Amino acid sequence: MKSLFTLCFTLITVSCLLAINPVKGKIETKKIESIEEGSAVIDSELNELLEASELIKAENLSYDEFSVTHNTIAEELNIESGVDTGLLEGSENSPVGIPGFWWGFCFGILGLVVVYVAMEDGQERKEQAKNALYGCIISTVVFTLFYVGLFALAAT
Amino acid sequence: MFMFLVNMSAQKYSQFKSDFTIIEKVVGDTSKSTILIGNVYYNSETDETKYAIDFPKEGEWHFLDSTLFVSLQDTNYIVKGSSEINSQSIFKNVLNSTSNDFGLEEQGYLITQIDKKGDQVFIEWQPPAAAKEFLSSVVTKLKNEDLLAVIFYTADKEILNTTYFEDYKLINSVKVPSRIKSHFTTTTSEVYKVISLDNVEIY
Repeated sequence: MKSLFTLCFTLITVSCLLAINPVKGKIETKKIESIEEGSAVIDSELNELLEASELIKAENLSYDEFSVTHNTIAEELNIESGVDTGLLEGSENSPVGIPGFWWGFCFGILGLVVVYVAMEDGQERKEQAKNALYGCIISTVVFTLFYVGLFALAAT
Repeated sequence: MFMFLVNMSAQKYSQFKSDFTIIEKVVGDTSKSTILIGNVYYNSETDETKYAIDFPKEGEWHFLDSTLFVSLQDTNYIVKGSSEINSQSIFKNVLNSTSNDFGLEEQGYLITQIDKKGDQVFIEWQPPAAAKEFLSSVVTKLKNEDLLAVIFYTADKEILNTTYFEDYKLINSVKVPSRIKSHFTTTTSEVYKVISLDNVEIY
């Protein structure tokens, strides 16, 4: 009986220690390789766009100017003309009414994870994702008030 | 939330200013790209973030407390949101961050494995119970206490996102990555994105 008690105590203690302390050991090689290889993939995909952006900055071009003076590049890259497009373009799920493109910048990658999960799955899972990572941000009631041409009206 | 992974100095800063370029490419049934060039100003004391856009069209996105004011040429609108918007800003984390764990610990993630390869440290994290429905694990990569990369795995153990933090610069003793690259995989598309920060000022 005493041995059994000692064994149980030892097992519980070891379990607790393992739960509290991380294990210094091997992370799957595949996961580490994925991290090491992924950077070059992004560079490769975005190389032409990076060159285009450098061109735009160097020549201080507007979208219209860029489309005219470098029309071959503009057509080939199919660059959007607006800033309210992006990852969640046209989606009614766009959190807080802010297009996803901005989420990635305003809220970082954890924000984007939420956005993607929300876009990929059903309503229930979407809510779980939102609540898990953003809490009150997402549950906030959102309403949008448009007043188109206010400046134009004010000017007249 | 998202820690921009900076070594903090003792001094407290409240304002962040930078030029930025965001490049995004979505590859799916059709491919499309976005280039966004402008500058950003964040002030934690006034609780505001202002994005002034130069390309593709001039405009301004101004997050002030719980409200977003958008001005795009002849169109203006207001989005009433949450007061959490600015508090979750990456720039707040740039100024206040005390760790290089991507904010994972703060979110309830637990370290399960630590693996050292040369001067690089890989850490595997287990998501909190609420996130296990859609995430199985997260792995971060550090070197000299700077976060270099993070990778998110879906519940099906597929890669959801990989993000890299490059070209750290020391601004007023705060380390800021000047280039953030990201790749998302969804069921319908691949999304590649780079955020570049230039002329960063912290005060």
